[in-house]
Amino acid sequence: MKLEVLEEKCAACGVCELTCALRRFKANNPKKAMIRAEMIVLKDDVKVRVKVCRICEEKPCIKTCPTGALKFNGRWIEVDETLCTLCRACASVCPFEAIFFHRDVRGPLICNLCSGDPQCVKMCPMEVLKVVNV
Amino acid sequence: MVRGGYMNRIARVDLTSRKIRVEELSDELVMNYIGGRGWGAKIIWSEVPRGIDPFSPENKVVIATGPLTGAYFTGTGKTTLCSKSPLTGAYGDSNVGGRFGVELKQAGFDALIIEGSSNEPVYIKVFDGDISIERAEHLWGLGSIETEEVIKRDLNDRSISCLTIGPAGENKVYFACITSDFGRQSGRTGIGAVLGSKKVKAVVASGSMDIPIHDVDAMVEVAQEAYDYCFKSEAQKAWIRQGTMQLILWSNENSALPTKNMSEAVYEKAEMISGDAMESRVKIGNHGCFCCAMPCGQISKVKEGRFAGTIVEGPEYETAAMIGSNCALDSIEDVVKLNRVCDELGLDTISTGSVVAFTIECKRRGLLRGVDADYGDVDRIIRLVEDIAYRRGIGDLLAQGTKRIAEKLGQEALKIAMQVKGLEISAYESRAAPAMALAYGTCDIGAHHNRAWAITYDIKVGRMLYTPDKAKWVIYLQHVRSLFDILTCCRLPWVELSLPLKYYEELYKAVTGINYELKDLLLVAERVYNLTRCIWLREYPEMDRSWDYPPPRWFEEELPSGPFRGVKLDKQRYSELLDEYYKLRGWDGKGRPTKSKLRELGLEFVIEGLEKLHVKLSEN
Repeated sequence: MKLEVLEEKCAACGVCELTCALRRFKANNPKKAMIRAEMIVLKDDVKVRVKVCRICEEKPCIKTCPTGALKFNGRWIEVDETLCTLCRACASVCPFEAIFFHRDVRGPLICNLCSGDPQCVKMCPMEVLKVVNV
Repeated sequence: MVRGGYMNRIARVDLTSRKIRVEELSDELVMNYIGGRGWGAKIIWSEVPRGIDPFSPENKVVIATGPLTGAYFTGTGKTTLCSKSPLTGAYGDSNVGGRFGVELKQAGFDALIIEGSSNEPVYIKVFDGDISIERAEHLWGLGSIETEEVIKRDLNDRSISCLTIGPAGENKVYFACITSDFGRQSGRTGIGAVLGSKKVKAVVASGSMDIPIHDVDAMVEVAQEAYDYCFKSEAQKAWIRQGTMQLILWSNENSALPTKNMSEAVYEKAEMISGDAMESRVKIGNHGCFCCAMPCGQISKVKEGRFAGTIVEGPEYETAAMIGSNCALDSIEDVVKLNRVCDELGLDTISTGSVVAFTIECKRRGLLRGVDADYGDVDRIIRLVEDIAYRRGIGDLLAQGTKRIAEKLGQEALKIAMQVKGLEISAYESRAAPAMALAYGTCDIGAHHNRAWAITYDIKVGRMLYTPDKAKWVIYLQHVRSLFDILTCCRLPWVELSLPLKYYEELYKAVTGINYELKDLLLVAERVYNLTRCIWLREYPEMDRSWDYPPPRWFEEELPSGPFRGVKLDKQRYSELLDEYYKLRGWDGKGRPTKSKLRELGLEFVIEGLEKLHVKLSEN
């Protein structure tokens, strides 16, 4: 399974972010989320980017990690925090800018689909997020 | 017990000495005033001396969150700004959605108090516990939205949230607003001009701290129930589709749509500026405030014609009515364009629409010369609006707001100056809506609908009635609705989706751990309403009941068209309704809170403060 994201529908309210952080860390802190919605204002347009792991084909994050802290378990990317050195190489190569760090958290924040039952999907008022089986 | 919902710190930013002082949040502010406008009212009463010029360094701007700001619940992205208003010379506040308050709290502060004044343009940066005063020469002169974009680019961070002013704020236009997150405005009472007088171009916040919550599980439970409730609502879908713009046709059908300086309440071209016109012609997306279950913010883009490519967040109902029908614009594209012009200049679209329409009517009546703008003429109106923002020519007078312009022009102009206590009336023509008229008359910042949107009650129980229940209802709304500005979250899920208030009571308990029932929360709202009334009395000891009347036009001129043709407000019956309102509030016949009411609310210090100024208060 993976998340399908209909970015053009997103209103950037961020309820996905807080849902994510509460579920994962019990923290009222959207900056600990593994998903972010960001509005970009251009001269004659407004776009929203939803940054979340799409489980892409290439998975450059895994290839780039110098310590082997990331691995794909067949469903999502798992992080071994004991191996992570916080070098952020993974974040720099992510084509979706979907890897985050927070000073309270050891290791990168990468969506793990709530271990198979993504909560953000249920809370999105704009129906931006969908679970698709691949 | 851990008290949740607060970061427990308030920062004072003194621009004169360039010193920043961090104070612990006091129990008094938490227990007696809760947050948001509660704090604003208390701080202005205690710290802003009476009689000062709103543009002097002695004035302060309180930027306050509340315990619910940033919590997991629909509509917790609010921030309230409070100050002594240049338009009214008394208590003013205005809230803004988006995300600024969440960032401020996550940066470690419940509120900022901006004091003193800077000689050079500055912006205030609040990043994760650190506050700094930064140079802003390069931003001075830029538009509001432009400023936000330049700051984000300079800091290379798109996740920050900004409050900015435009040229109108810099030039101390009395109704200058504050813009946040592209298209959200803290519009009313001219606080943008107060920031401008202090040379503050922007306040920028970014934070990554946890917001402490007393009982996370309980908060998540009540939030999820509330989200489910909203998601099941048919109205939620309509709000996402058109937002407040649904109200244009509703208002028009109910003879309440301000038209041509509120000389009429029905606009024959309402359809051209309606929610349907927006949805079919210009809408390109939505923008929701933090954690909203019904993101009602609309993003519009003009697709064809001279203004093609213009984007704006909005229009909102208030904007489309005040700069649209009230200025007789006849296309949604013109409304979008003028909305964007106002947003960049940093002008409140409600007051701007009122000032422009009033100016045009005065010109037509031969009361004002040197104006070439006319109803429907968007190009000349844009030029006039720019003249106001830059205080060019006649714009210098118009920049002072409807009341001051009218005082210059004389009696005839005063009759058609659509304002109460200096604040321009927002977008509900109320000649056939006595409860709404009373709401405008008694609103504690001047004529604004947000304290009591009573027109739905007029429609429900009878448009021509002046029955005591209307006064009672207005008071109820003035407490419930301002409670949202105290808790600092959005009232729309309650107003529009009928989300029960018990959710807010439960949420407040889960977030803070403070065991207040709804009645206790409403008591705080009543305390704050009485306190703001007393700020008015302190500024204007001569204030009496005559200040609580809408403008003469509504009493003297009959509605010329529509289903309520021939109707006007009845002065005698309005006066009786006002008596009833005062009685129910525990105020005397002049509209002054009695000593026993103030004591009951724990406002003894206010009695002392007013008596020092020889303001006579009656015992009961």
